[in-house]
Amino acid sequence: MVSASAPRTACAARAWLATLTIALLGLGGAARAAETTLAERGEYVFHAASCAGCHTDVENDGAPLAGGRRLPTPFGTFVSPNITPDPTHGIGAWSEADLERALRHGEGPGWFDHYYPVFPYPSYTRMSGEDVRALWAYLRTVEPVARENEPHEIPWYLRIRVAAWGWKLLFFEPGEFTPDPARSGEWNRGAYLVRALSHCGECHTPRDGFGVSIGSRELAGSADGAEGKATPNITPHEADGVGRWSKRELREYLHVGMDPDGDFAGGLMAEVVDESLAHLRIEDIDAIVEYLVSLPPLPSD
Amino acid sequence: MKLRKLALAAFVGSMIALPGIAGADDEGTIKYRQSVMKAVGGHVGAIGSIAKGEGGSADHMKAHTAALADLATMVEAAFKDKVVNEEKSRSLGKIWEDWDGFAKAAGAMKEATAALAAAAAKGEDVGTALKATFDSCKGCHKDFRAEKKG
Repeated sequence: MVSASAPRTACAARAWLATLTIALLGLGGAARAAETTLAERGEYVFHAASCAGCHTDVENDGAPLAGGRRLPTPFGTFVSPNITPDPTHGIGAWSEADLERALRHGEGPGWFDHYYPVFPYPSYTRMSGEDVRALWAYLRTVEPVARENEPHEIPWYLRIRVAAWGWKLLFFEPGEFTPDPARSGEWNRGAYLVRALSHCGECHTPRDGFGVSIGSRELAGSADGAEGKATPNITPHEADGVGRWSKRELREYLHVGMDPDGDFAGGLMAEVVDESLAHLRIEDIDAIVEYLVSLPPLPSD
Repeated sequence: MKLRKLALAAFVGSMIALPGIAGADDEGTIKYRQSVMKAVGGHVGAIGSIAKGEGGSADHMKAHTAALADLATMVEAAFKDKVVNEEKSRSLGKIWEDWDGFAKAAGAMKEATAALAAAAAKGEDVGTALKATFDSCKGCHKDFRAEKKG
């Protein structure tokens, strides 16, 4: 199978196959060679956090992480920024502290540079310091692309960053994820992945009129998820959610994209599987499943 | 009197019979293509199960992969009529706006499933071909099918 010393690029295809085979065989354990350097750990964090999805203009074959993907929301269309290390157009002039401030506080390095929560910092704020450091190390290794950022297409009153600042003041609670000592290590890892890195709730939890995720409806599905599309209820509710799925079926869907009917994920979820979940270690997929099945089963609205 | 009754009966009869004769209405089109895709899903599910050793046999693998490759040749034709109905179907209008793209995606499925059936028929390892098949499923659903709702 995949040897730890083989170059990653050369065995990428085989690694993929190994991952798939292992997912299909239902074997846990060492799906991937253990990451050694900080940047390699950061690449794992990068996949788990699904950064590439929004920061790459997939539809127009844009350069990876050079931004330009249009993100329609009820508040207007945002255009994702360039996060390659280009010093002028990307984040090449940033420091690690700048990245940490962006992820944890939704704030850029400029003056009064508050971000709108289309950037999922309400989830990323929960990231561990170690993961932030690793992600920074990885982002420094990405190919710089000199692609200029485009302005967001949002109403004038939102263009003033005061609105973003006010939103944060009212609705945003920064803070790292704290494990629940009453739960298992696996459950806590799953909770961390779902609520921080994988930011599942950003699409699967409904939002109120201010665009705030409704905590009491965690993962109960949204009529207005990413790109204005509906997202399903993924709580363990029997009729409306995934209550009838076995843990094995959940694992297979997350890792490979196949549901219990032999049907495959589509739309943005297919992107999430390909860009993010398929890259995760099977133990992490199992941790996500463990957390999901523990949630209160909520009926859909 | 008798004649009027007869005429009425003929009229009512024709009203009931007509939709039956008409055949391919929008509802029928959706029903047919959903049946085709459900059959695809049934075989893919069984193939996944056999690959994991949950059931079946090498012969069953041959039969399911052959049936899947056969079905794959019908997918493009099953979608030839444009019917978009957000209530009853998750097919996106993009299928017909970008027919070439859709035909290409359906072609990728034909190619991948033919390779899968060939590998199974020869009793070879199906891992690579299975991955390509799964990728063709996701590849097409990514662009041409709406997400599941709440």
